[in-house]
Amino acid sequence: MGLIPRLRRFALAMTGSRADGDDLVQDTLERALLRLDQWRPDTRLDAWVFRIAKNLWIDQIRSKRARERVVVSDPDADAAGLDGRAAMDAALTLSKALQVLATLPEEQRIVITLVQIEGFTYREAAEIIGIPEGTVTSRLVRARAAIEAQVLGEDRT
Amino acid sequence: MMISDETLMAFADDELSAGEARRVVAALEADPALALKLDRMRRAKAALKGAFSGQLELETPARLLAPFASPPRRGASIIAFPQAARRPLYMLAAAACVALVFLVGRASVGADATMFARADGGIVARGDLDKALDAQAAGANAGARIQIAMSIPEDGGGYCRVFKLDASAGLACGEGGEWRIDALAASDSATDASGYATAAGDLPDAILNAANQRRAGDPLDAVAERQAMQARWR
Repeated sequence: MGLIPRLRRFALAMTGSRADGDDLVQDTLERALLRLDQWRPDTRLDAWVFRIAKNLWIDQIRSKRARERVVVSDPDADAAGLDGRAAMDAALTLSKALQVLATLPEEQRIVITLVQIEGFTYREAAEIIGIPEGTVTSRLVRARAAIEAQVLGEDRT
Repeated sequence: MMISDETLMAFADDELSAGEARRVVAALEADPALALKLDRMRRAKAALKGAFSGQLELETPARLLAPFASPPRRGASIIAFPQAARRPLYMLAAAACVALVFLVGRASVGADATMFARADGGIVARGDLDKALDAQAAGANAGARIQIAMSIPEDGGGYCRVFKLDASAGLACGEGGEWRIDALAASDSATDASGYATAAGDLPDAILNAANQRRAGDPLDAVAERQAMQARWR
């Protein structure tokens, strides 16, 4: 499978929107080609490109947050449209999945996307994000508990 | 035995060593609540992954291929990907291998680090491709992975060779004792079951155009090619 379809999927999950995701993919590809000589052929190209995408996205979020400090933000608007306690059918639609991911903090969303959707190992995810493997694990545990509660309902055992 | 959430999750994600995994399996057999927890983890994971499963089948929008379509610049070479873009895309040779991975995936030549190496902002042949370019006659070894389609003389006395490698075709030119990959293209007709492909008609236009730009004369016949080969293509 080509890298671009995977990169689009990753960007969609990370940004929560097709349009934002594809904008991110475009920026990522441009930067990747520009910095191609920084890629070492003995390392995984996909991990290198995913890392570029992740960094660009984090930069965008930071600058967006900086702008939103000036504008009055409406935190309730972010959570609208999703009843976290509603037990959903286990077969998730894409839009529901995006809603669920959107409830996670950014750093958890990136980890869970890399590991559960893209299939990277913990070590690979740690390298892409630039954090210790133990941090990947702890973020994953939290992200996973939140997703389970939303997708399968609260654990009543 | 206590199994932490971290460990159970690592088990569900196949991250544990065999020994650790055995410990978890033993604990799962003894503890139905733990097994239920694992089941929830797996169901949630499958649901999340499944929600995104259709995403890889989508066609890539043309605008995302735009970064690959910048016009040739200084020392540039022509690369075309007719199957991915429906029309040739031109780009720098340095990006060729990577672009192939981007566009047609790991299964193709891009993953073949043994056949190519990056050097001086370009790409040179390595391994079996390098050997075939040195010593394989045009039209020989029908059905082999690497086919040489033709050899052409270059201005200044050197030579270029048009090759096919799996689902790709390319133009390699001798330079400083290396075969520099001047152009590389995914070939639409590469799946021809016969595997016998020396006719120019089988080659992507981009490669033929690139060869035409470089050539200083007609393709070598078998005798001239053998002489050039014996003279180490100098």
